[in-house]
Amino acid sequence: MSYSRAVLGGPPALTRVLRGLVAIAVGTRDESLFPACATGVGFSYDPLTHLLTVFVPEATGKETFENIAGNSAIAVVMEEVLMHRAVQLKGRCVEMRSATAAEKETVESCMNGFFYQVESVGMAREAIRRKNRWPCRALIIEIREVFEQTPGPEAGARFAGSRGA
Amino acid sequence: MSLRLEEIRRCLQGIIPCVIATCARDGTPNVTFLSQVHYVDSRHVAISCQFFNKTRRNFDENPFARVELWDPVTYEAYHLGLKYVRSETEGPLFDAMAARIQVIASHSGMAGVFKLRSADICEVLWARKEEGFLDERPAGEACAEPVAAGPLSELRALSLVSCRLNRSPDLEALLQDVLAALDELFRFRHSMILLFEEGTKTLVTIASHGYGTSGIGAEVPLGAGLIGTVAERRAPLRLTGVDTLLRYGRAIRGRVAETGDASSLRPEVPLPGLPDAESQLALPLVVGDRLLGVLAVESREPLAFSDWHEPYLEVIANQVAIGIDRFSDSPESEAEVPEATPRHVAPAARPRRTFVYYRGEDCVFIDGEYLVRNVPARILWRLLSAHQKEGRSEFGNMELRMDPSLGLPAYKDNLESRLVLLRKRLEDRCPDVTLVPVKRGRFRLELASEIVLEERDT
Repeated sequence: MSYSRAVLGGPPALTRVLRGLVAIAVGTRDESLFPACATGVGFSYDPLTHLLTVFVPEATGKETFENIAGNSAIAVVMEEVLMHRAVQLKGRCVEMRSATAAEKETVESCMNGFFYQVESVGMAREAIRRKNRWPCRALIIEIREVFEQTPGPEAGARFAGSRGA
Repeated sequence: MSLRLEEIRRCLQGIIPCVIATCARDGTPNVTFLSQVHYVDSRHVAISCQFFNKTRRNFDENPFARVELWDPVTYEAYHLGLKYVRSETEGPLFDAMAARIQVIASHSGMAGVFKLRSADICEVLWARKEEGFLDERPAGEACAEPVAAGPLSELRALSLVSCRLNRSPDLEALLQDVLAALDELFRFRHSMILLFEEGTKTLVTIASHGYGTSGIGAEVPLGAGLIGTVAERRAPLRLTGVDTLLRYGRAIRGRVAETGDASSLRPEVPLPGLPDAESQLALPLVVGDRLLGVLAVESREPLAFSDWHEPYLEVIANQVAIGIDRFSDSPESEAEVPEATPRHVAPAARPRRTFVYYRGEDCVFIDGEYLVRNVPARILWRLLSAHQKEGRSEFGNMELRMDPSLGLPAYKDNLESRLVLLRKRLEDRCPDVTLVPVKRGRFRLELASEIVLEERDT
């Protein structure tokens, strides 16, 4: 693999870093390098394979899926809403497929965490809960770089695992 | 179909952070959350750059960006296609964005640490709604979309406020009337007026409306928080999504503490007024080139203040400033005011009050509790001393103006406002000592308690 596990502090450390991050956005680009973004509705991370699976609704992911089909370059930012703690992962999408029924539970679990956090900062429950989240496409990502994205002087720096990672 | 930016102005108020995606020259995408995209005009937005981050570097390599925004009321999603145009490091737009960041930095104890480096201006290539982002509303469920407010019916309200200001017999009535009118006519439930003390470079709360405790006498240093920043810049400032802004500021503070120079951080400044305000608007009170104070209104509603409120309330703030100025050096005519009946309390029932003047701190304490400081403290001390030594009860503004020990400026001394502040502090902390107007420019000191006076150095 081309990424350095040492930079990440090791996959088990990344598992801890990703815990509680519920707001997800996916960045891609087309052949002319014009960027696109889409909201993610869930993720899972496998420390054994070091692959990240991000779920993007079919309803709003059309442009993202087209970009990935064309060049596979992808970035994912994930944030804890309450404290703005965030990381960005960059890599290549190695597989794109429809999410399975078994994965719906992962999506619902992530979205419940998201709903809880955004409602606790004052967003109206009745609006938020209408967020479309199924059916989804699963984007399986080979992680090559992880960046600190919490606002502050180190935002954008390669992740050093300084906070419990 | 491309939308006009004006149709999605609610999304550009920073109540919900947005997402921005850019792309490096080598084709690597970058995506991150942004606290706010600022509306510039119908074809441009601005992105604040506080740190030299990847988004900023990508703009230099590839000017295109995509932003996803959410409506804070409906939660519908919108996308903007952007092209980076230029970065501004000075000018009105930069100053306005910098002031907003200064407020967050000040409240978070990061003044000088967290600041705007540039306002990155982007052309909006297109704006469109993200179809399918929300599921259909269940049949029969009412749409909670609020009816848009607007200025069309507000001219009459402005006229009423103006009339009340014009008819106020004294400064205290003027301040109370304008805050009450803001509540009655505009539903601004929480408001305050602070006056600027040139000597101490602080703003002192002289009138408030809608708070459980009056907060009269509460001070804000020039440049601190929203109110201090507005006074320093002498320009209005509106904050929406205050809770989001403060959490954002605290996140940065946490990272500075962990990775940067923690010694540069200062204690977080508590917000004056509502502890859970979601939107705030403050306007400077200026006459000519003199800063008189600040008018501040706030609400627990994130969208309480619309774009038009700012220039509209500026008209009222200007009228208030002129009104305050009118009373700041009014001639001491001998016009009668309704005779006040002196309060008589049987000597046996009179409580004992100990006033201590601390020369070093230039302040007065009553029974061990802080009462007032600076010029109002000196005025109170003069009155109480004259009463104790000479048995005097009636005083005139002119004799106070002529007394050099009070340290009043020779021009525009704001004596009236200092007496209002003193009167209200006494009402709050020591209601058995009152200053009762007897004629225009004259008042009587009434004591319903036995007074003990002490002077200490510190």
